[in-house]
Amino acid sequence: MNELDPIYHLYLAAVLFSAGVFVVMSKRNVVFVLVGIELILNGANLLIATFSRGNLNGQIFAIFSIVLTVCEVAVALAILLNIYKKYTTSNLDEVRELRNE
Amino acid sequence: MSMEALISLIVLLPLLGLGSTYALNHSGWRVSAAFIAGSFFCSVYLLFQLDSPYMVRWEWLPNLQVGISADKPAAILLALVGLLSLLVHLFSMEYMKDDTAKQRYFAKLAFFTFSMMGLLVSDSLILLFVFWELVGFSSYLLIGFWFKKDSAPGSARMAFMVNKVADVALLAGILMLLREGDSTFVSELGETLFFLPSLLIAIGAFGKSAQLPFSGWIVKAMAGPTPISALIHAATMVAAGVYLLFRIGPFLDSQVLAIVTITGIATAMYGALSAITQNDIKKVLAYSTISQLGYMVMGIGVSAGEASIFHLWTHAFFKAGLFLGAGVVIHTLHQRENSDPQDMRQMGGIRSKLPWTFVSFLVCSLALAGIPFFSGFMSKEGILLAAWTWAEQIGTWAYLVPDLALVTILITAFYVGRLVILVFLGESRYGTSVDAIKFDENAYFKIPLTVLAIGSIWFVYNINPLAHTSILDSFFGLVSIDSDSFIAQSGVGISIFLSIAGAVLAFSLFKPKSAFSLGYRDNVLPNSFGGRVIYNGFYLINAYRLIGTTIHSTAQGVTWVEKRIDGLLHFLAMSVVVLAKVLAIVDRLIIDGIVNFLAWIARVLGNVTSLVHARESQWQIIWLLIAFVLILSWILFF
Amino acid sequence: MIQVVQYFFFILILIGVGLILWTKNVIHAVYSLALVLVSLAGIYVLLNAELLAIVQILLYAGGVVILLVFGVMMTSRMKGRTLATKSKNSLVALILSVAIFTSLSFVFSEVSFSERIELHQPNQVEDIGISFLTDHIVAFELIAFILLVALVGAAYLAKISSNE
Repeated sequence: MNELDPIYHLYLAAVLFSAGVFVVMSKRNVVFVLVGIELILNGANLLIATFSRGNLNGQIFAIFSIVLTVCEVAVALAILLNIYKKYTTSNLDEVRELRNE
Repeated sequence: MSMEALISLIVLLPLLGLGSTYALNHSGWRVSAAFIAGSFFCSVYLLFQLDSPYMVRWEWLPNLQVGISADKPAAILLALVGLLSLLVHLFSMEYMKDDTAKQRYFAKLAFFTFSMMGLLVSDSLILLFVFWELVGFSSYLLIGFWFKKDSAPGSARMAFMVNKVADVALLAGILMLLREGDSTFVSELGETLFFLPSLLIAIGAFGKSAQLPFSGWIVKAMAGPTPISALIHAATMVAAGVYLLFRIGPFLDSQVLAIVTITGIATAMYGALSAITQNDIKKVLAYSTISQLGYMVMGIGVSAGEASIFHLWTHAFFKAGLFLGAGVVIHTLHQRENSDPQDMRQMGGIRSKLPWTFVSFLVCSLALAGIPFFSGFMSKEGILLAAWTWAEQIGTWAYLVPDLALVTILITAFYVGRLVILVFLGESRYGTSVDAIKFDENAYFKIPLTVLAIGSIWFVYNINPLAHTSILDSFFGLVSIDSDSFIAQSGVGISIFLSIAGAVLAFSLFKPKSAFSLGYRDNVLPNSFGGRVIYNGFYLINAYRLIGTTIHSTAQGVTWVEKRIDGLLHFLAMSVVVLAKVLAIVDRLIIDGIVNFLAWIARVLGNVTSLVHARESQWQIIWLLIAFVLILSWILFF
Repeated sequence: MIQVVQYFFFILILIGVGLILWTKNVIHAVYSLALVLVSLAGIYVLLNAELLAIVQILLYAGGVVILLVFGVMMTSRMKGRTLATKSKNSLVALILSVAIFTSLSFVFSEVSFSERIELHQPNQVEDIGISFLTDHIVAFELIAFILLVALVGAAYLAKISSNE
C-alpha cells in the first residue's frame, strides 16, 4: 500500500495553525475568534498525532489536549455571555473597559 | 628809613593808588596820581641811598626761595618808570577828562605801574616771571580799555596771546634752569648757561620786546588810548624784555648771542622799512618802536648791554614825548566827526595851531633820528661803536650788522622827517571848516611834553654833544668803549652824515608845496609790490591770523575725527550689544533646541513603542506572534 | 487507494479552512469548523489513531461546536450584527500568518520520517486505557480535576450572567 508521505500531514497542520492565527488576529466577532482558536488547537493535535509512530503517546496527549480545549471553550463562552450582557455587543473593538484607560 | 621799607613803598604805593580809585569815587583818580608821585620820589631817594646792592630773600613755597634785589640798574630804571608813569598820569587827567570810565583807566594804570616796578626789583627768575605775566595782563587790560570799539578787544587778545606764546618759552627756560639745579637768582648767575635754556629765555624776552617774529602785536596795540601807548609800548613794558636780556646777557651761550644779534638787527630793519609808507600816525610810531627795540636787542647781542640800557633810557624819553605829542594832535582832531583822527592825510599845518606840541615833537623826533646834540645820537653811538668792535673781533660776515645798523639810521631819519613834515608842516588838510576845531594846549599836556623834551636834549647827559657816555654811566655799569680805532671813528662820522642825509631827503620829498604833499590828502595806498609789502608790515599780522585759523581748523578737524571715532565706538558698542542679543537668541534656539529635539525624539520613540501595549486585544496577540516569528526565524536562520 | 481517501480528507479540510477564512457570517464559520473537525477525525483514523478520532468527533464536533452555536445564538440579537465589517488588521494578520506558515514549513521540510511500522493493534483502546491509569495517571487525574473546576466555574459564570 502506498501511503501519503507524512510530511503532507505536517504541512496541513501548519496550514491549520496559520489559518487559525489569521482568524484570531483579524476577525472582530468573539465567537469567530474562538473558532480560530479551535483551528489552532486542532492543528497542534494533528501535529502530535503525526509524530507518534510506534507508540501511543501521541494519541494520549492529543486526547488530553481535546479535553482541555473543551474546558477552555466552556469558560470562554461563560465570559462571553457576561460581556454580552454588559455591553450588548460582541464586537471586540468596542470592548475596552477591561483595561485601565 | 630802612631799605626794606623804601623798596616796599616804591613797589606798593601804586597799589594803594589802585585802591583809592575805587574807594574814593569822586576824585580817587587824582589821589592815585599822588600815590604814583610818592612812589617816584621814593625811587629817586633810593638812588641816592644805594651804595651796594640790597637783597632780601624769603621762602615762598617749601623748597622754593624767591628774592628781590635792588642794585644800581634796577634803581635807575625804577626812577624812570616812576617818572614816566607820573607824567602819563598828568597827561591822562586832561586826555581822559571826558571819558566815563576814568576810574577803571587810572586803576589799571596804577596796577601796571605796580607790576612793572615789581618786575624791576625781582631777583628770582620765578618772581620775575610772575611780574612778567602781570605786566602782560595789565597791558591786555589797557589795550582793550575801550572794549566797545571794534578793534580793541581783538588787539588786546592778540597782544596777550602773542606774548603768551613767548612766555611759554620763557617759562620752559626757567624751569630748565630749575631742573638742572642752577640758581634761578639773577644775581647769582655766574657761568654761561647751556644752549637751550639760553635760547628759550631769549625767545621769551623777544616776545615782550616785539622782536621778529613777535612784532605784530604792537601795531595792533595802537587801538588803546595814546597815553597808554606812550607809557607801555614806548617806554616801559617793551623795555622789560630788554631789561631781562640785559641781566641774562653776559651769561648767554655764544650761539644764542649770535641769534640775538641777528634777530635784533633784522627787527630794526623790519621796523624802519615798514614805517616809511604808513599813513596812521600811531602806526609810524609803533613801527619805530619795533625798530628801536631791535637796535637795543642787537646791542645786547654784541655784548654791549650797558649801551643798550642807556639807549633804553633815552628812547623812553623821546618816544614817550612823541606819543604824547601825537596824543595832543589826536585829542584835538577828535572833535571832528566822521573821520579818523589818527590819519596823517587829514593832518598838516598844525604847527601854528599847536606850537608847544610842535616844539616838543620836533625835539623828540630829532633825538629819534639820531641827530647830534640830542640824546638819541649819544645812545645810538654807544651801540654802534660796540657793534663795530664786536664785528672787528668776529670777522668778515659780522660787519653786516653795523652796516645794516647804518642803513637803519638812514631810513629812521627818513621816516621821522616824513612824519614831522606831514603832520605839522605844509598846508592844512585837517578839515574844511577850521573854526570848528578848538586848538588848546592845556597845562596838563604841556608839563609832560616839556619834561620829556628836555630829557631828549644832550646837555642832560653829557657836556659833549657828540659823546656816547653820560653821567648815568655809573648807574648802568657802563665801561667806556675804546673808540680810537679808525673804523670806529669813521663809523661815527658816517652815521652823522646818514642821519642828516635822511632828514634832508625827507624834506625834499615831502616838503610843503611839493607834489607829494599837495596830493597827499587823496593819497591812496601804495601800488608797487614793495610798497604794498612794507605798508602791510611784511604781512606779519596776516601770518598770525593764518596760524590762528590753521590751528582753529585743525582743532575742528580733530573734533570732526573725534566725532567719527565716537560714532564708531558707539556703533561698535551697539553692534556688540546686538551680537550679544543674537547670540542669546541662537543659544536659546540652538542649544535649547537640541535639548528639546532630543526630548522630542524620546517622546516620539516612546509613543511609537507604546503601541505595543495596544488598545485592542487583538493587537496584543499580533505583537506576540510577531515576536514569536522573529525569534523563530532567528533560531532557524542564524 | 488509501492515498485517494487521504487526498479526499485533505481537500475537505482545505475547503473548510477556506470557508472559515473568507466568510463573514459567524454561523457559517462554525459550520465550516464542524466540517474541518470531522475531516480531521477521518485523517486520524488513517493515522491509526482510532480512539483519537472517536474522541474528536464526540467532544469537538459534538460538544464544542454545539457550545459555539449556542454562543452565536445568544450573542447576536441585533440584526446585521453578525456581519462584522472588514477588519482593519487583515493585512498585518495576513502577513503574519504567512510568515508563521513559512517558518513552520521551513522547519518541517527538514523532517525525515523513517519507514512506517505497520502497527496493527486490535487492542488499541484497551491499551490506551491501561496506559491512562498506569503511565499517565497523574496527568489523567489532573485533567479530570481541571475539567471539574472548569465546568463548575463556567456554570457559575453563566448563572451570574443569567441572574442579572
